[in-house]
Amino acid sequence: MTLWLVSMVLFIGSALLGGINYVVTVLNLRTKGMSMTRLPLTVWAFTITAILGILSFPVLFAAALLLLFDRSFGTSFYLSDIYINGAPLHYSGGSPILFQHLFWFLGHPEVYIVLLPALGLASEIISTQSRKPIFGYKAMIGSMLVIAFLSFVVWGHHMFITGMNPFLGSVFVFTTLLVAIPSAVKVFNYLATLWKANIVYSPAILFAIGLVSFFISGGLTGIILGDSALDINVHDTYFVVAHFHIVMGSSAIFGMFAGIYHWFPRMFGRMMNRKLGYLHFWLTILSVYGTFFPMHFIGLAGVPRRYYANTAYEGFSGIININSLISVFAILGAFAQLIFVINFFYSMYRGKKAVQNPWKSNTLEWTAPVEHVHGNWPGEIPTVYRWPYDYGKPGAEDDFIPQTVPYSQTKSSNLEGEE
Amino acid sequence: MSDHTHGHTGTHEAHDHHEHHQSFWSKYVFSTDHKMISKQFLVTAIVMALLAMFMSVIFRLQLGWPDHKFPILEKFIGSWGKGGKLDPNFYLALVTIHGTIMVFFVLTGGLSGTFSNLLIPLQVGARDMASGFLNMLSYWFFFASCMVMTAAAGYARLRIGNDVVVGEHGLVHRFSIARRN
Ligand code: HEM
Ligand SMILES: [Cu+2]
Repeated sequence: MTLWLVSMVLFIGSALLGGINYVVTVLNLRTKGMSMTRLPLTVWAFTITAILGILSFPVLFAAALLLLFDRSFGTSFYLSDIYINGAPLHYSGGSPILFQHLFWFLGHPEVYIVLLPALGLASEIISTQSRKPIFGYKAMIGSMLVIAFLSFVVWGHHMFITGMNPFLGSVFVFTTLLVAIPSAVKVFNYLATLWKANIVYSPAILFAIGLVSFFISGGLTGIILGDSALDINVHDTYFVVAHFHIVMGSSAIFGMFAGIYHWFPRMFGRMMNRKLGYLHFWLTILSVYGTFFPMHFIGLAGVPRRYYANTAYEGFSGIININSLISVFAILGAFAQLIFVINFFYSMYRGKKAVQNPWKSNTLEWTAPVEHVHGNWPGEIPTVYRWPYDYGKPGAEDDFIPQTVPYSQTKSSNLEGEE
Repeated sequence: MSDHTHGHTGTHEAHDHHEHHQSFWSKYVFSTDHKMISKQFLVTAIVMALLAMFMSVIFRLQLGWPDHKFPILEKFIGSWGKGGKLDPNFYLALVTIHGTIMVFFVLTGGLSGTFSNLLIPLQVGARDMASGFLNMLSYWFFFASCMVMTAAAGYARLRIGNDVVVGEHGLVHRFSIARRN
């Protein structure tokens, strides 16, 4: 436990150093023409994530430090009574609930720190592979900002049964359910972008669509858990395990996989194997749903989480088969990841050589040479003339117009006001 | 610059045209280049993810077949899986460390570390991060915390190894392992 705390303190150091750097870079080092509303949604997502981290990680830092003090130096921030040799010390006033408040004040923003970058990657990939502009670019930015703000005022939904004042609980129910609005906006925008698109399939977009699927199916159980009257029944059961693995764990992992498949050529100058990518996707989505979907039902049946075995209770004898089934899917899923690992390391050295812009993408990273150079572009940094989502624009020669192409060269497709 | 591939074959790493003399250390370890740092984050995260996934397989074996013994466990985790049964205390340690690694090390450090690093400078049109040095430090703090977390798993094992065998035959042997810490 002490090592766990030391590790977290180091980790927070890393997250803060990284986060400050990301924000400063985005604010100060944009190239000519790259206004904030011409930034790809990935960059917006990373920036908002970094801000969330900068604001919330220090709170976990404090919580971890105080806990270290309590455990190692005899303070009592989280302990109300300390007994030494049977006699209570004179300290008073510490509270274990305080740790929960501090922890979840980070804890909830943390789920968006995990999710937002994945959503950003998905926006970019879905738009590129659908060959359509992202639906509702500004709404996407706005909903991310609203989610980021709300994520700081909902932490109490993890604490409905700690003895917190029930009135306070209902305030947290309200703020929590508000999060459904920007989340629904995002889902709607993804679906509208995919709607009637001529999707160019690749492992990346399959994983991105998988993310959207998890965001929906896991988000729906979030509405149940966010409602204190319902949550009290399923708190600390497998229902919760199912919810957070689908909406946070699997969504974000799928976003990460999507990102890896999509930007692998940018990172390593080679392509990953497509067939193995598809195989990896189908086995993984099957085993994720196979593992976590049944957990909803055993959770509703009352099976608590964090128990080593549930064999002591007559009433749970019926779930044993379900648990075995879940484990079979979990092990299948684990094997599926080995396909990915093999594909990843093999392609790093032996993959097909990548061309400069393999996905016919608009964003700037694909204008840099395949071979990495310090400073990214060997000559001048390119200038930006348009937003990043001019895919399938009516009247254009090609189905994509990179950000570096000025409007003066695309007279046939310019909209009103674009010169 | 058009899309070209010069004759630097054999490695996946392209050499920088301007600086040909980069040693292993300055290229892979003390790199301040955001593209290299992003690869460092990604590879570290993949290793941590495999570790956490392995943990989940171990406790899923326990949850799926609570009455069954898996002698193979002893091969992987030694005294944690004495006689093919997962130790109950260690179950808790595993679940906690599994969750911590997945949430913080894979999906926070790994995800943001990889893609913010790779894409922010390239997509906004910057030559690198605002501070390459802080960026390198960020990776090194991350690496250190990964190591300490892995050690925490190992330490849980030694302590539990000790508790479990007190009063059993292997006492002396186990004690000597536990004392090393
Ligand atoms: C490889 C597939 C995975 C499987 C089979 C799996 C399985 C499980 C199970 C069964 C538990 C609950 C055990 C219990 O409460 O007794 C658990 C806990 C947890 N998992 Fe996973 N998991 C997987 C991947 C992930 C991922 C990707 C994340 C990242 C979000 C994650 C985060 C967590 C967290 C935060 C906990 C709670 C830890 C605690 O209760 O202290 N897991 N996992
Ligand atoms: Cu929350």
